[in-house]
Amino acid sequence: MNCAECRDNLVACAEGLLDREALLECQSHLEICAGCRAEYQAITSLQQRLVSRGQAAAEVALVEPVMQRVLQERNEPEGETIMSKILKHRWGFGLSAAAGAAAIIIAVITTLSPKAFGIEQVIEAYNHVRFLHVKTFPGDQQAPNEFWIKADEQGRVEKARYYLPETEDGVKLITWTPAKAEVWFQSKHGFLILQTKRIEPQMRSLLEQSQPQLYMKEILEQQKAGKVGLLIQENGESQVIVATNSSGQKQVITIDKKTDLITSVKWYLVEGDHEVLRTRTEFSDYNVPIEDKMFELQDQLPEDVNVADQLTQLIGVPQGNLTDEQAAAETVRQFFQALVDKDYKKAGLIYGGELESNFKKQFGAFTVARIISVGPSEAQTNWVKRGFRVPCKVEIIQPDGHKSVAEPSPYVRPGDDEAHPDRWNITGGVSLGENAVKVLPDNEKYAAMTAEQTARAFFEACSRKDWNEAGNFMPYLNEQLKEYLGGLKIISVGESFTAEKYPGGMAPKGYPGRFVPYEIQLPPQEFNMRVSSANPAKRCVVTGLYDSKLKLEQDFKWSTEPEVLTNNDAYARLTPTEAAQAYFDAQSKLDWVEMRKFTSETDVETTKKEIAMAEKAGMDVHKIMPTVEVGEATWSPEQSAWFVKCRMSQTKKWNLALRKDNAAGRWQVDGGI
Amino acid sequence: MDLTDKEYVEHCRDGHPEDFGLLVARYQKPLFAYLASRVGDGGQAEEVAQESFVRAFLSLKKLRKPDSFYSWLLGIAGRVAKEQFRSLAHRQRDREAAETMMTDATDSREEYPLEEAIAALPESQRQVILLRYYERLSCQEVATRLGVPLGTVTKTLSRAYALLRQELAARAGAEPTVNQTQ
Repeated sequence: MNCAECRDNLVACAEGLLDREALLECQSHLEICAGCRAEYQAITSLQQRLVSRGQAAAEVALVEPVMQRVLQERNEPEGETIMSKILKHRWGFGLSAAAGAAAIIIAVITTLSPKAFGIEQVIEAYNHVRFLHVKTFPGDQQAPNEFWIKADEQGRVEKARYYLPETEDGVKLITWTPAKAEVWFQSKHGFLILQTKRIEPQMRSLLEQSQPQLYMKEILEQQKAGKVGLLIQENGESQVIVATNSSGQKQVITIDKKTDLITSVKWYLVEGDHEVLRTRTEFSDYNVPIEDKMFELQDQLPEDVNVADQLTQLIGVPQGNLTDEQAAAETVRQFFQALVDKDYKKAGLIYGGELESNFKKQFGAFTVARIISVGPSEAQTNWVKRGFRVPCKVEIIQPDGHKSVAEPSPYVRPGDDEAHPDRWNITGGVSLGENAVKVLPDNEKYAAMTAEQTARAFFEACSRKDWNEAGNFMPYLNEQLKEYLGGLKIISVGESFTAEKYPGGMAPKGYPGRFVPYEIQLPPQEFNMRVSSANPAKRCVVTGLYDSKLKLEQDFKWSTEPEVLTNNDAYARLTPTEAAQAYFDAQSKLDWVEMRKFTSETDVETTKKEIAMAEKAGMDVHKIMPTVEVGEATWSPEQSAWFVKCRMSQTKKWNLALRKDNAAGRWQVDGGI
Repeated sequence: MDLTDKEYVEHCRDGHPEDFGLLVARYQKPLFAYLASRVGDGGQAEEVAQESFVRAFLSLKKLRKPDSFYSWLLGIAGRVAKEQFRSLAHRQRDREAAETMMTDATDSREEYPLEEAIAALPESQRQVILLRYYERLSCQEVATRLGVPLGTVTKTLSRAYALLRQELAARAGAEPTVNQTQ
């Protein structure tokens, strides 16, 4: 067998599909040919990777839950309509069901060759960037992150400094060299010394982004593969490259034509017709030398800062003779024991070298009384190869003296290659109070309630706006829900039932709780309708929906102007208030012909779909239709339209979802509001 | 004989939303594997995958290249995962979420482009890879399912491996640029 024949047979060989004779020939060739052997090994290695990916996903079964939601939600409108307001909060499970507008690939506008862009000159102009100052402006941040980078002649990062003004830890300053990283938690008054390779790739990535020859080559490769569309524009002294990919991400790269250096990159997310600027990066001070003291923090530290030195002290729990499972559980046990002993230094060392002061702050407010159980460890190979979660139970005493049982499930792993691979650390999942259902001082009273009694007590508390009491039944009662439910009136609360699928089809598979049917009169909601007669028919029609504070909720899109009706004059005589009233009257009667005279076709169609969906989910549509009181109209010169005040009252007839699978043994409202 | 992605997408758009289930069946496992390696938690990956499919369905009319359905789906999933991460980080003010992000950036970084690389394959090759590895059929079963000779399956696999290796090597050598958000 020669090389060509062998390579033709390699996949069949790896799949065990060759007959004995061909297999022997193939094997003989592999023994003597290093090239084919390497090829064979590459194939089997890829196969192994694919097999493990397939195994990881073997149990996944999404068709049914997805199709349930798809068939139900396909009629959901994209914006908020009056009907959406009426049906608001009806599901309340899982991730937001809002229809995220999908991104669209922008057509490839130009085919670009490196020559056309003058890339040779760029390479020549660049050669190496040794010093660089970068500012990034993430979309949700007020102040920019700043980076100072020093690289060697091969482009490897030698030193770096980060200034991160808005992190979960507050203001952070970081310096990095291959031998040492220092993190100054300015807001938390802490200083951490460690060794990590994790920062270098990020630094190098920034350096690479600052080098158009590398940057452009890659973008061109992606363009060739059909993954990005490119548009090049000349803009005075700059050249602007716009690259858009199929995930709806768009980059706008600005290059200074004089120097061929990138000055800025902007990342946009394209959603439908909108572009949202996510991040802007500015590159400056190319090759302006940065003094070495910029990469040292220790001189600048206040005297009383808490220093945690991972370079000189051991973190984590030694593995010893324990198996990985045992080591993970032992680590968690020692961690909680340290909290029981209020030994925050030890807890901090097990928690990856976290500062003692941080721990004291986080856990000092309450007492960890005892460990009830630890483990068994559950492997998390999808996370890291030797990663585990260790479910456990601990008894805690709240600051007010209440006892409760928390069930954290910490993430545990051995130190990484660069630190102590034989020592185990906790990296997260140790929250003890926020998410647990508390055992109340009078817990027995609540634990003795049935699901029906709980539902009634919850609604009664909402009715009184007694949010402390309501919070005993629903810990995550946010302001929006309070506004929605505060002052409600109970009409009826029925008998609870279980259901495999939540009525309406949105419950997670195998939902463990019960459902209680209810009917309530919701508190009135105030909002505004924008009404305009600036159209050829001179009739008042609705053009927008605004909240009580005049914040736009939905712009009604009219694809065509309102037509002149046969009896147009009668409609043209209606005041804005009368027109809004007529719109709501037509809607409540489900009179689509009449409704069309006051609103856009899209609004009518969306309302129809919402109604159909509510009916399909088993709601009594006539029962839920709101009564809308229409008030005075105010002229807005800026909008050239009238704003009509509206007040909506409605009843809601639905099923409250409750579950009791918590440590306190009380029914908790879980959805269906 | 299975239809192509494009045909399923067009069926869905032509008023047969039930055909979307066939696309879910086709891509649920690679999507899950992709997400599990990004978010590091199976339950969360499943939730994100489900949400991604629903969003994809709701936006199907906006998909300009129906034959790129899978890579488009991965893009949506990436965004949903980020949203999920932000909300998780917001809810749990401990380091669990940050650790997951770190996982995303480091430990499994070399792993997750596999599904992206699969998305870049021609459809005929992609189908064979999905059936062989994610549906875990033998080569013979793949041949029977697709109604082609066994030799065609091994040749298709061979071509797919070559392209995958090429794609993975290219990705390993380059930092993400267009995909990067900071």
